[in-house]
Amino acid sequence: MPENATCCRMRGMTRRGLILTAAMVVAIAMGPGVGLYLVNPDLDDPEPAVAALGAPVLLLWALGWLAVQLTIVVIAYRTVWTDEESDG
Amino acid sequence: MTVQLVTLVTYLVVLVGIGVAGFRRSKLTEEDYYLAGRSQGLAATALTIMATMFSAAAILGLPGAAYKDGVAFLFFALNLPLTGCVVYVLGSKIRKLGAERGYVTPADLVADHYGGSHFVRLMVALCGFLFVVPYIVMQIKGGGYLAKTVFATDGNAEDIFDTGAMLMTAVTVGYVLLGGMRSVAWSDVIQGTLMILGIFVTCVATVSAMGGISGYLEKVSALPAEALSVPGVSNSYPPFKLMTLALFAGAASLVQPGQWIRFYAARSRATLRRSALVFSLVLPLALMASMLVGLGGRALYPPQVVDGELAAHAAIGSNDRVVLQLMEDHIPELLGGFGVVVLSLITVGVVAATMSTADSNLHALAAVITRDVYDRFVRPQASERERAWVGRAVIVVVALLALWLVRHGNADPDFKPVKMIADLMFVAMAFSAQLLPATVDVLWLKRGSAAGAAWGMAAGLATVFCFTPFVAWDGGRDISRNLDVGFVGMVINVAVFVAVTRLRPAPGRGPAPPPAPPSSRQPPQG
Repeated sequence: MPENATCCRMRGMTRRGLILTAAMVVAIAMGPGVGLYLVNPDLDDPEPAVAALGAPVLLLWALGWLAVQLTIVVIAYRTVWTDEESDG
Repeated sequence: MTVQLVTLVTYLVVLVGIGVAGFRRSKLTEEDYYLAGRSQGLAATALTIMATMFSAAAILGLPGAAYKDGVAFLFFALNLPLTGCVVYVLGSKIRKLGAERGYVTPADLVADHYGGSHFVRLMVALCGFLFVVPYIVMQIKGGGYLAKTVFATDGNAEDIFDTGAMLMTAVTVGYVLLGGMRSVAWSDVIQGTLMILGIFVTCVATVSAMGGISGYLEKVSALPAEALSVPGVSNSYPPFKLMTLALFAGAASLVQPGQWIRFYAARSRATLRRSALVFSLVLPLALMASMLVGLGGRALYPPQVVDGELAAHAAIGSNDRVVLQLMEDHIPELLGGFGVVVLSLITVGVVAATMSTADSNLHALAAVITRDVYDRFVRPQASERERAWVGRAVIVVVALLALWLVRHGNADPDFKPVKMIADLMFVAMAFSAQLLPATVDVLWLKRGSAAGAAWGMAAGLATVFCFTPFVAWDGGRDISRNLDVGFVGMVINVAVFVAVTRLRPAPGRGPAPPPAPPSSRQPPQG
């Protein structure tokens, strides 16, 4: 493989890896992090909105962001980690 | 009771058999005893990493925490997909260097990078030691507690505790001594499978007992608002703490010696890549399932106010028993006559959780003491065969000492050492986390100096120690309520690491020497 092709492929792989890393950080910030302030029931409210769609809001929030995190891992496994392995 | 006893005895016999089988395939070399000849395949690598991480505290304590604090604690499971990524990203680099240079312990790799510094080696060993020792003692105590919970009848609880702790220690020491890493990993395959299946079956039984998914969600949605919001009923899980935990706790738990050694032992990079995927997909779901059990338990057995404080429901006794109670109540109900057998297997799975963590930590501690202390400071001329036997002796001595402490602590509630060790276990992961900055420098940055790495770790460990009950200060309580203690230690660790590296840079990386005076320069030509 020509040197510049390897270089471009490496650059592409790094870019994908960086995007996935950033996505994971966002998923953590939103899931178990400061994103919780968006959905956390206000206990000062006499009737706090603890449930939505028949389930606790925070349970749905946790499961949703867990699904996002798992998707990121599967994409990394199928693309970034495979590429790295073939590189050496 | 009889079925449970027969299942448990059968299980223990199988473990001893695994020990013997591991011994027959072993060679008397350190690489074979500690790393199974660096030949572990996918099943052994994935399940041994998961089983080592999933202790009895996780099996019983995490659902107990969800029972006590409600949905806020579920977010703890969201550190695991990232931890799975760390298994591959960190593990594959560690494995490669280990295979190339014959490393066995974390300190071999880190100290070698910093020019063989003894100070670095001791600090790395101390990070590992402070993680491993509390875990060994508390797993043995957990074995006794589980035996008491499952088998005790009126009046014989303390005898059953002693018997359970001794039996669990004897069998664990037996197979670790005989087969080393090979036996530990094979037994972890069985133990990990039992634990994970047990969690999922208990979750299904609980949801089914509450009227299926819709019934479960309806009952859980009716919990008090404090149990359905952050920071939880006991006000312990604000978002910043959960976030710092999710970002760093998993990586911290993977640089402890027991896990680090598993990276060296993996057969190939592909093995670790697949193990990372299995870990990322299975463990978060298992942990989430166990916490859903705890949350369901809160709906089925609401906590009660006793003497002005919120305590577990009388039928449960303590928060940590919620899983055991739901198993006993609902698995036979779900599976009929066959349920008793499944319940016995799952009970064994819970016992397995204590053994799989104890075996890995005993085995890792033997490697750390032998390679990082005995071989460097006591008898550097020791042969490899001698070191392998010293490692085995360490396992026996540490296990006996831990058992003595646990039995003494159980007989005498005022016996302080066990309580102190229990206090240290709460920050064990934070101690282990202090190896992370040096690890990142060794594997990626390569800009630090030996003095920087060692003083950084020392400062990080000292910082974490300030958050233990031994140093009671109000500011500490406020900080630890809002941030993960390991993260706080790492901030100080990195600051000291950078500052000392600037003052005492690595050889060849110091500031450029000042230009030579004009008189010493070569005269211009012509």
